[in-house]
Amino acid sequence: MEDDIVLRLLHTADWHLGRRFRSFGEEQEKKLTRARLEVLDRILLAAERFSVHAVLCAGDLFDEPNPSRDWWEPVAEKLRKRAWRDRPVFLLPGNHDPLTIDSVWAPSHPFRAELPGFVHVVDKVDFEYQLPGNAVLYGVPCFSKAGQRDPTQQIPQRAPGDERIRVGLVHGSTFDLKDCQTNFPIAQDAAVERGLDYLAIGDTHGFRYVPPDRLIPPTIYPGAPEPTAFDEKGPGSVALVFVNRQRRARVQAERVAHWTWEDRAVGSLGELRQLARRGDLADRVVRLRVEMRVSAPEYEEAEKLLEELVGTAARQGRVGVLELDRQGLELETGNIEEYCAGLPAVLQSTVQRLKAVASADPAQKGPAERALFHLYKTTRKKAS
Amino acid sequence: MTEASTPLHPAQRRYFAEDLVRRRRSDEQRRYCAPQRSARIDANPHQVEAVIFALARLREGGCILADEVGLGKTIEAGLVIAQLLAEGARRILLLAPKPLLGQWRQELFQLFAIQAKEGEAKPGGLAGEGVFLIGREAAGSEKGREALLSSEPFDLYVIDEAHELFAGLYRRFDKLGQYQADSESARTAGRVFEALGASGAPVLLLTATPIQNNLTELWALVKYVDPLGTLLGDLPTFREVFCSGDDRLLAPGQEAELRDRLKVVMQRTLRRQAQGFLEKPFVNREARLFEYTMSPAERSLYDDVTKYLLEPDLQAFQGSQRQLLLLGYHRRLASSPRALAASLNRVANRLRGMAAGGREEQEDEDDLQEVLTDLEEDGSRGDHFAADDTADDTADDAADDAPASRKANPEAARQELQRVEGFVRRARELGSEDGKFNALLRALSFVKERAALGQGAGKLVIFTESRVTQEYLRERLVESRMVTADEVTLFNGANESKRAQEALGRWRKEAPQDGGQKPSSDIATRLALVHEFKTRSRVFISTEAGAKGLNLQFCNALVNYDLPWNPQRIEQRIGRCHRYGQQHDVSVINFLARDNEAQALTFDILSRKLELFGSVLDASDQVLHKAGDSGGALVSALGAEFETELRRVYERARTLDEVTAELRALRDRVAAERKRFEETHQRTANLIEERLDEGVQRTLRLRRESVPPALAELDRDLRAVVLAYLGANELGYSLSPLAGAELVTVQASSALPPELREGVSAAIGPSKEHASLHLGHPLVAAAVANARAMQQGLAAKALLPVNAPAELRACLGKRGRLRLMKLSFDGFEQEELLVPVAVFEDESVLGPALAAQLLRAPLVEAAIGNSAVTEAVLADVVDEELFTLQATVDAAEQVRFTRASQQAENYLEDRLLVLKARRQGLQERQGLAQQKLESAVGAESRTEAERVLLGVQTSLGEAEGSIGKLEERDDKTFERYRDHIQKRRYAPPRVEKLFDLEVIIEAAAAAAATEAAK
Repeated sequence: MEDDIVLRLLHTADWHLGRRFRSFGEEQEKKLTRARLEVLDRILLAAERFSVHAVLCAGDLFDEPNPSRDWWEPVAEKLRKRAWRDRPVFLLPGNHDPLTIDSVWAPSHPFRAELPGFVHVVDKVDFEYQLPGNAVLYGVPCFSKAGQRDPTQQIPQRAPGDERIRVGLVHGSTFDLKDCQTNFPIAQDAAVERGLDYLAIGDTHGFRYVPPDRLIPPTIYPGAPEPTAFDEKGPGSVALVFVNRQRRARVQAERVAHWTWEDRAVGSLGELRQLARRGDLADRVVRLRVEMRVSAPEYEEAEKLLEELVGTAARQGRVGVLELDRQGLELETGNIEEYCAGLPAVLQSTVQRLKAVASADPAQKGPAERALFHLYKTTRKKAS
Repeated sequence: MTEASTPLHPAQRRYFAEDLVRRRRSDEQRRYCAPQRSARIDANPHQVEAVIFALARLREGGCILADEVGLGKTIEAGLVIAQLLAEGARRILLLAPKPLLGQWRQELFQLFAIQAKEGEAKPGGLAGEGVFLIGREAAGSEKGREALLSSEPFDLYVIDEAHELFAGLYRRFDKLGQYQADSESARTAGRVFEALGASGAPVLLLTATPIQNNLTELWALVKYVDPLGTLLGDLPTFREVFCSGDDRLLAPGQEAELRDRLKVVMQRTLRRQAQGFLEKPFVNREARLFEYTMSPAERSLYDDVTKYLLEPDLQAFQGSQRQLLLLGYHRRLASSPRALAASLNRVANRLRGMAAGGREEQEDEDDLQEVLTDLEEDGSRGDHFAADDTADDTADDAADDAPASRKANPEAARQELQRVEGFVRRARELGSEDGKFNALLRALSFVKERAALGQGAGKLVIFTESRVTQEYLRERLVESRMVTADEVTLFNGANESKRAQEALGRWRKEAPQDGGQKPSSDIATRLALVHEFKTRSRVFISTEAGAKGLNLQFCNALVNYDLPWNPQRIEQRIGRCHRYGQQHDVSVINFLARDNEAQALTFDILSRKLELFGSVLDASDQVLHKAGDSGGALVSALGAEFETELRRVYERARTLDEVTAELRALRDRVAAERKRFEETHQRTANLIEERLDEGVQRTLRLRRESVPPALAELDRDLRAVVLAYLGANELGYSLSPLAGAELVTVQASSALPPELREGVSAAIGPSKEHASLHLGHPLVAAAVANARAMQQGLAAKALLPVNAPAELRACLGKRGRLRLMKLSFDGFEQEELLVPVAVFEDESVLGPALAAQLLRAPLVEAAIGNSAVTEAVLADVVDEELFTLQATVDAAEQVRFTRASQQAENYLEDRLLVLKARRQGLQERQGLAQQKLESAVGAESRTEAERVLLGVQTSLGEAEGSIGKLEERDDKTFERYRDHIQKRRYAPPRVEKLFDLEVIIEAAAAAAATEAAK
C-alpha cells in the first residue's frame, strides 16, 4: 500500500556557491570555489544511493541573491543530468540569497527556465507539496537578507486528525550559537509546536541537532557540504533522514565534502617535521602559522619543509590548499657565528654587523636575519 | 554457535551457512585468515598483511607485492589465489619465467592443494576452469596474445618476477605518452599488457626489485595495476614531475609524494621488519673462499692458452661467430682441465681442416653449437636467462661487429695447429693434476665437518657452466671416494640419463602427486632429481639449467665451480639455497687461484663491489669482507653492464697484462658506478621502503595475534555448518581426534553430491596429513547449498537459556516474526552483511544484534501458526534498520573514495603543472621574439622575426587552451576515472530477503519442564 511506505529524505543547505576565498592565492581559491560546485554531484549521487524520495535544500545555496551565470548554470546542468522523475528537489532561498525580484529565484530569471521539472523553488510563503508515503512538505523562503520573523510560524500547525508525516523546510537561526546573527529566528521547539515530524533548516555550517538533546522530532542543520571557514564545527555532510510509519524520523550525517579545513600553529621544528610527514595533507585546507626561533641549520630545514608543503613551479605542494603565515619563523642569531666560521674575515665582520642590527632595530630585524641566513648558506655551500 | 549435539533448525543452518560464506572486507580477520585453511602452511604475519593489501586492491586493478627477496611472495600469491577460488573465481592465470613453472606447479599443489594446469600459447590452450600456468615468453608471443585475447576472461592474472621483461613496458610509449602498438621494444611486455588490459581483470605483480635502474620501470609496473593510469599520470608527465632530467633520478623534494602514491598499489616488507615474526627466520649467506695453487705445468698451460686466445687474427677464430666462440673458449678454459682439453681438441680439428685447405662457414656454426651445447646456451641468450629486454636487444652485438670472414690461409693454419697440438699434449700430460679440484675436495670436507657440528645437512650443490666439467667432476669425486656414485646427482638441461629416469620413477612413487593434469616429462624430471638429492644423494652437480627454479633450501652449501660472467646468474644460483625456508646460514664457496690476478680482480668485483656472496670468510671463518645489505639490488642494477664490460675486456685485450689492466679499470668503473647507484638507490629505493619499522612491526604483531583466534572461530563455524548438514540429512559420519584438530570422516552415500559419493574425510582445524575444511571445500560447498535449499514459511520455538542477555529474556513469551536480509555492497570492496530483525505482536522490535543472538540460541521446529505481525510493520522496521546500516558501512568506503578522489586531483594537477611550466617557457620566448621583431632591420629579417613570433604565439595559444581545458576538468581520463570512483562509492546496495521465520520465545527450563511433563 502506498500509505505504508516509509519516507527517505536527503537534506542539505548552505552551499554558498559563488563565495570568494580571497585570503588564498588565485590558484588555491580556484580549487576551493570549484569544490563548492563539485560537491553537488556527490550530494545528488548520495540521494540516488539511498533512494531518497526527495531532496531538501535549505537555503543559502548561493552566496548572494544574484550570482553570475558561472554559478547558477552548472547547478541547473547538474540537476538536469540526473533526470529524476520520482524524486523532487526543493530549493529554498536563504538569507544570503533571498527571493527578491532580481534574484536568481525570480520567476523571470533564466535559471528558473533551465531547471528541470522535478526541481521546485520554494518561492511562496505557503509552499506545500505532497510527498510519497502520505507526507507533506511545507517550505518558507527568505525574502530579504535580514528579518525578525520566525519562518516556521508561517507553517500551519498540525490539525487534529492529521496523520500525515509533516516536514518543514526553512532557513534561519536558532539562537543557540554564540556570535551568530539573529536573522530569521527559529524557535528551538518549532518542530514540536508546529507538529512537524522533521524540520529541515539551514544557516549555520556544522551538522547538528537543535536542541542537541532532542532527537525526536529532529530539527537539523546539515551544515555546509564543503566547509567555508576554519572555525566551523562539523561541516562537510548532508543529512539522510528516514521517517517510519509511526512518523519517527532517524537521521544520519553522510559525509560528502572533499576538503577538510584545519587551523594549525607549529611552535617547533619537531612539530613542523611531524606535519610534513603526514600523509593526509592533500585534501586539507590548512592555515599554518609558524612560530619558532631556530638555529641556522634548523632554519634551513624549516625552509625546506615549508617548500615541500607549499610546492614550487615544478611540483605540487603536499598540502592541498595552504595559507601560510611564516612571520613568526625567526632565525636565532645569538650563536650564528658558530655556523659561519668558514667565511672570510670580511664576511665574518658583516655577520657581526648584521647581528647587531638584528638585535638593535626591530624594523631591520627581518631583513638582517634573512641576510644572515644567506651568509650561513654561503658557508654551507663552500664547505660542501 | 550452539553445541553440535543440539540439531540446528533449518533457519539456523541457513543463517550459519550464509554467515560462513558471506563476503567480508579484506581487513576482516575472517577474510584474510580463511585461505590459510586451504593452504598447508601457517602464513607469516607479513604475508597476511600482503594478502589483505592485495584483496583490497583487486577490484581497482590489482597491486604489486614487492617484499624483499626471500619473504615468500609465492605464498602470498598462493593465499590470494586460494581465497579467490574459495569465493568463486573460476579462472586464474599465472605467468612466470619458464624455468619456474614446475616450481609454481609443485608449490601450488603442495601448499595450497591447487592443481594447476599448464597453459599453452595456442587456440584453446587456455580453455576451461582452473589455475593456469604459462611461461611469460609464451604468453608474450604473438600466439600467446591471441590465445589470451580469444580465451574466456580470467578472474586474476599473477605475474611472477615482474621486473624482468615487464618493467620495460615504458619503452613502448612515445614522447607524447601514447602507447605504440607497433613498437619494436619490449614486445613481450607489450603483448601481455595489451591482452591483460583488454580483459579488465586484476593483476598481481610479484617482484622483489621494483626499481632496478629507472623510475620509468616503476611507472611501467604501475601501469599494469592502475588501468586508467591516473596514479602516476602519463609517461611524459611522470617524467617531468618525478624525474629530474635523468630517468634514474627522482626530482628533488618529490620523495614523499611518490612514496604516498606508490603506497596505493605497492606493498613491501623488508627482511629486517619481518625477521622477528618469521616462522623460519631468515638466514645469512657467507662466502667461503678456498684458494688454491696451480702446479707450474697447469699454470703455464693456462697462461699460454689465454695468451693464444687473446691474439688477434687467429686462423682458428674467424668469421661471423668469431667473438662468441672466443668468449665461449675463455669461459671453458676457466672451468676445468677437461673442458679446456675438449676445447683445444675442437680448435685443433678446425685448424687441421683449414690446413688441408678447406673451411666452411657451416663448420663455424657447428663449433659454436658445440660450445653453446656444453654451456647450455641457445645462442640468442634471449630465452631463460634474459634478465630483461636489454639482453634481448643486444644479444647479437658480438656477432654483429665481427669482421667479415676471410679466406683461410693453410700455411698459417698449419703453424697455429702446431701450437694448439702442443697445448693439447700438455693438457693430456697434466693427468690428474688439478689444483681447483683439490680445493673442491677440501670444500667437501669442510661441509662434512660443519654438518657434524650441526650446521646443515652435509649436502653440497656444485654449479658449473660446462657439461664437460660436470661429468669430469662426477668421475673425479667418485674416484676420490669421498662420495659414492649413488651420492652424486647430475642436473642439466637434458636430464635424459638412465639415472634421471630412475629418479623419475622413484619420485612418482614417493612424492605426493596432484592427480590432475600430469606435468610435462622434463618438468617432472627436474622435480624428480631434486627429490633424489633431497632424499638420497649428497652432492648435486648442476649446470646453469638448475640455476633458476629449483628449490634446494634443504641444502646450505653451494659451490661456484666456475663463475658465470653474468652476476644475476650467480645470484640465481645462490638463491636456490638461500631462500625462504632455509634453516641455516648458507655457505657460498668460491675458488681462487693464487697469483691469478685476472681471476682475483673478477672475484673482487663480484664479491666486494656487487656484494654477491655476503660476508666473505675464508675457510677458517676469518671475515675477509663484510657485505652491506644490498639484497641483490646491486646485482640487479649493475649486473647486466658488468657482463657486457667483461666481454669487451676479453674482446679488446691482446695480452694478459692488458686483461688485468682492463679489469682494474673495470673494477674502478664498477666502484664509481656503485657509488652513483647507491646514491640514486638511496633516494629511489627509499621511496618504497619508507614504512617505519615500528609501524610495520606494530601491524605485524597485531596480525600475529589476531590470526589464531580468528582461525579457531572459522574452524568452529565450519564444523557447525558441516555437522549440521550431515546430521540433518542423516549422512553417516564419525569424528576422531587429530593433533590440534579433529578428523571428520563421512561415509559413502548417494545423498552426497557426486564428487563426494565415495565418502570423504577432512580435518577440522590445521593438519599436515589431511586436507582441512575450508570455504572452498566440496563438503562445505555441499553443506551451504543444502542449507540454502531450505523451505520458506518455517516456524521455530526459541528456548532461551538462563544466561541469555537480559534484552532477550525480556522477550520471553513473545511471539512474532524474524526476517533475515542480506545486504550486498558493491563498492571499492564487495561486502555482504546479514541483517536479522524481529518484530513481535506487541510491536516491540529486536534489532540486528539481538536478533542475531536469537538465531544462535537453541531453536526447535514447531508448528505455531502465523503471528499477527503484518508485512507492512515488518517491512517498515527492516527498512529502517537497513537505512541505518547502510550509512554506517559507508565509513570505510568513504576513506577509499577520498583517497581515490585525491588521485584524480593529483592526476590533473600534475598535468597542469607541466603545462604551466611550458607556458612560462613560451611566454619568455614570446618576449624574446617580440624584442627581435622590434629590433629587426630590413623586410626579410622582419618577416622572419614575425614568423618566429607567430609560431611561439600559436604554441602559447595551444598551451593556454590545454590549460583552460584542464582547469575546466575537461579531460577524458579524468572523467572516466571520476565516473568510475563515483560509481564505486555510490553504488546502491542489493537487498535480498533470505527468509522469514515465525518465532515464539520460551525459557529453556520451561521447555524442559514441558518435555518432562509429557
